Parts: sequence; C-alpha cells; structure tokens
Amino acid sequence: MEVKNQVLLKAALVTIVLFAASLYIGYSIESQSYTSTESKLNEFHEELENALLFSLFIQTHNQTESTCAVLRDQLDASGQNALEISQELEDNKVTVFTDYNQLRGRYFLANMRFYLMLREYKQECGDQSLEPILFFYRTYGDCPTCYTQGRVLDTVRAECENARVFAFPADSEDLAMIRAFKTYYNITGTPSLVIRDATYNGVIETDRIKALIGC
Amino acid sequence: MSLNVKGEPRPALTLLVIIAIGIIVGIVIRSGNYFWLMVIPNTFALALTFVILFAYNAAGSYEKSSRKRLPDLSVIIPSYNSKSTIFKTLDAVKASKYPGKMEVIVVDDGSTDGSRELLKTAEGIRLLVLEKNRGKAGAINIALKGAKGEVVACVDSDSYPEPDAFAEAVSVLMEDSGIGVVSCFVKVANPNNLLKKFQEIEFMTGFGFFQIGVHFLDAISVAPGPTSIFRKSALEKVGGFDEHNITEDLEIVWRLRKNGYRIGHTPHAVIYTEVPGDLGSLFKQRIRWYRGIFYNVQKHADLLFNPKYGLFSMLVLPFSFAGEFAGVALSFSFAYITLAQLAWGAQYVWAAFSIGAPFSMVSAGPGVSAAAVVMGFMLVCPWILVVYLSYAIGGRDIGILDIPVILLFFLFYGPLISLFYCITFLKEVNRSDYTWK
Repeated sequence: MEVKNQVLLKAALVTIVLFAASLYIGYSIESQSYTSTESKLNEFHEELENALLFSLFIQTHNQTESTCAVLRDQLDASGQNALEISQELEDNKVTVFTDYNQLRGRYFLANMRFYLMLREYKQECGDQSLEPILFFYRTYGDCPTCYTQGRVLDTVRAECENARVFAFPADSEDLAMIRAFKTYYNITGTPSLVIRDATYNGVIETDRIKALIGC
Repeated sequence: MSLNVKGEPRPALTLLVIIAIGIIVGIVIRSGNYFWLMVIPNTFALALTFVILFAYNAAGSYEKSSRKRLPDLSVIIPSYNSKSTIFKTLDAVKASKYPGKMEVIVVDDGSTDGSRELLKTAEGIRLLVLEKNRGKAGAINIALKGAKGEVVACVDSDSYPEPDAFAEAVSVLMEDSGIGVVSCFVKVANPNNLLKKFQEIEFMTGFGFFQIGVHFLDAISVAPGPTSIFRKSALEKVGGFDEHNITEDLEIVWRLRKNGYRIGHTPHAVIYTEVPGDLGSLFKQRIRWYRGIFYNVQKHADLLFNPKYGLFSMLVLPFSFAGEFAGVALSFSFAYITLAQLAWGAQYVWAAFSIGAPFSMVSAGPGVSAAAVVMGFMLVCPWILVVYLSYAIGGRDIGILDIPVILLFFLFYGPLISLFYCITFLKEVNRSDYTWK
C-alpha cells in the first residue's frame, strides 16, 4: 500500500478508536451516575412506603410516643436522601446518553408525597418542631432570582433545625400534582414560597423567613 | 502595500444572516444538548491532526543541503512605507551565504514615508521605483521582468532570512524540476508581547509541524508570504502574481498546482518575520488572510474535491474552507453563552444585593455533561503532542514560563481566531470591499 494511504488509514483508525473510547467512557460515567441516582430514588420510595405504613399504623392504632419518634427518624432520613437526590439531579442537568427527565418526574412526585406525609405527621403526632417550606422556582438558567432564593433557603436550612425545604419547578406543567399545588396555593410567578399555608411571591430574605418559621 | 477591490455591500442581508444564525445557535444551546454540535466538527479536526501527525512521522528528517553550487538567484523585496524594517531585511539578505550569484531587487511601491530616498543611497541593490502604489503582487511582477536569476526569492520588507535560508530552499527547488515553489519555515521575529507569543506558537505549529506533514502528503496550500522561493520559469508560465488578489501568496500556489507544479518545503530555510503586535493590526491581517480563502475558492472552485489534485483538493482545501464555517458556529455559541451568563449574573447579583443575600460562586448557568468533559480531554490530548513537536521543530524547549502561554493560547487565541473567521464570513455575506493593507 502506498505510504500516503497508510497514513490516512492509520489516522482514520486512531480517530475512530479515540472517538469510540471517549464515547464509551462518557457513556459509562453517565450510566453509572444515573444508576446511582435511580437506586437512591428507589430507596427514597421505599422509605416513604415505610413512613406511610407508620402513618397508617398511627392513624389506626392511636399514636404512641415511640411510633411517632420512629416515624420522625424515618422522615429525617428521607429528608437527607431527598437532598442528595436533588443535588445529583442538579449536577446532571445536562447529559448526552441518559435522560434524567423521567427520574426528575419521579423525584418531584415522591417529594410531594414526602411533603404531604410530613404535614400528616405534624397533625397526627402533634409535633410542631418541623416547618415545611414549599419553594416554587423556574429552571435556574432562566430565573436568576430563583437561584438567589435557593441560596437564601440553603442558609435558612443550615441555621434552622426546624426548616424543611421542598423545591418544585413551577414550569413543569406536565406533572398534574405540581399544577394542583400551584392552583391551590395561587402560585402566579417565581420564585414563590409557601410557609404555613401562606404564599409569598418574589425573593424573601433570610431574616423574614426565619421569623415566619419561628427560627 | 495597499490594494482595494470594491465590493457590493448588502447590510440588510448580513443583518438577517446574523439574526438567523443567532436564532439557530440559541435554539440548539437552549435545547441543552449542543454536545454533538461541538463534537462532530472537533472530531473531524482531530482526524486531520492525526493525518498530519502520521504524515509527519512518515516524512522522517529533512537533510540539510550539501550543494556547492546553486543557480543564479534574484531576491525581490517589494517595499511600501517600510522605513523601520527594510534596512534590517537588506542586512539579513546581504548576509546570506548563497553558493551562487545573487542579485537584490528592491521595488519601492510608491512609498511616502521617506524610505525611497534612503533606499536610493543603499549599496548592493537594484532599486525600482514605482510612482504609484500597485500592491505587493504588482511590485513583484514588475521586478520579475528584469530579474536575471533562474530562481526568484520573494521576500517581504519586514522579514529576515537566516544566512543559509536561500541555499537550503533553492537546493530543494533544484532536486526536482517539477517543483514550482519552495515554502520556508517562517518564525516570529521579536516575540516580545503576549499576542506575538501566541503567533509564535501558531507559526511553529502551522509553518513548522503542519507544513511538514502536509508537504509529505503533497498538499501544501500556501507559500508563506514573508519569503518563498520560486522557479522563475514557473512564475512566468502562469503569468506571475494575481495583482487583484488579497492573498496572492495563496493564489499563486493554487495556480501553480493547476499548471502541474508541485510545492516543496524545507524546515531548514528559516525566515523571521514581524507580526502584528496589537489586536487591531492582527484583525486586519487575519480578515485579509481568511477572506483570501473565500475569494480564491470562488476563483478556483474547480480545485475543491478534484481528485486530479490529490489530497490538496480532497482533504486540505476542504478542511481549510470548512474550518471557516466552524469558526462561525463556535463564535456565535461562545457569544451566546457569554451574553446569557452575563445577563444571568447581573440579575442574580442584583437580586442578592437587594435583599442582602449571601453570594455564591456556584454557577447555575448552562451545565456540562460528563461525556463532554471526557470527549474534550480526548480531543485536547493529541494537541499537546502537536505543540510539543512544534516546539521541537522550532528548536525551542518548553520552559516552565511557556506553559501558561500555551494554556492561554488555547483558551483565548483559539476563540479569537474563531471570531475572526466569523467576521470574515459576515464580510463575505455583506460583500464588503477587499483591502490589502
């Protein structure tokens, strides 16, 4: 074979190998990350199932201090898991080989369930030491003020033990429950917060939120 | 040198094209997945890089000339308002160790800076004076008529050949009567600021490493303007330089190819040349270079994908041309992302400031996928090898202080060149005037 053709052939082969190898490595990293998030989400679902059983138990067998304490522990663990999942979903907002939209949808539904269960727990067990905050945002890239509010809520969460933040994308119209929440709480813009069933539009500063949740 | 070719400006169309490209790029970026948009052109560039790397490897080392006698040489130096450099050029040319007869013809191309008067007193040169500026190509063509040498060296008035440069290049020309022109290894003279250092790296990779690989493939597309060595009979056969061309050094090579000549190269013929030291001058130079490709592709459209002209037509020329379009896409993407981030950042800072919220350095702008990071790394690796080899060809060690310059070269100079490609494209759409200045 002519030397020039050998050069072209070698270059083509090396390019194809390098291209395929980098695609494969990229695919593997993404898949691994996807599987890990999916597994955490499954765990989150299981924890919520457990919490639901506890809640039903409390409703049908009259609550006791010990079952409420177990349910509280269960909810605290779920809260930690939910935080980790939301962070992983944020880290993987741009992917090539995996579609996180389905995971996101499942996560938001589970998180809503979590929110409702927390309220149920407060009512059944009479525990007023937890304050759920609903946070409606638009995709951060489109809503810098939502990002600002998110950072404020991070501070509130770090400084207030009783704060539990539940964040939902207001622009995910395909999730019927989000639409229902928005209608119920009269969410017309972003960012919006719901604290103790009252809706607050626009960015709310740290001290005001702390005052509203009694921190 | 100055040459002006009037265009037919179409500002409305240009504006429409800008808006259309902006919208398309915006849609692609907002879809959140511009991975393939970036990867596919970069993979083609990677393939070309590997072609050159393997060709460079196959080319082996270039022998230095051992010829005792070489044919008569006419050195033609067109000069236009080059008072600050022409005498340094003359000193370098006169210091040449050329084993044969050598004449030096300086063509004063209507200078108005007083250099003509000074040149009249210079010794050892033949001075031709043009009352009216005709441009570099016109000046060379005039000198060509009276040149006595079998070989012609066209030297810019701000370029300085090393003493053995002519001997090395003419030796290559004499190896094969089918060679019409020999390209030399052009290096940057006085790289004393960052912009010149960037061009130094660019010249070492372009005229050093790439030119060797492309020469092996017989696909050289340009004889560097600062100095190239021509067979006089070849120049005469093709009718000399095109006087209405903004990149006559590119065009002459294409025309020589069409007339059956091959293009030689030697890295041992080293020429130092002055390069733009500020962004404005670099902008003017590069717009002229890149518009020259558009201009000449239109003039010699039959060269694109024509198997008759080998890998020059099938690989190098299409890549050069496609590269200009890739520059357009990259510039618009870069501009879109930068503007979007700035707008986002301003709103975020304002919102945070107005409520006294803590600032976070964490970006929430467009994300990058893990696959893109891996792919980017894979694409960059061969370039590290290219830069290393280029420094070696340039006779330079990569010192610790060179590393930040090389990094900045990739981070800033690459996007800057893409921007120049983009402006070139828009000027072509607008049919702006062509200027050689």
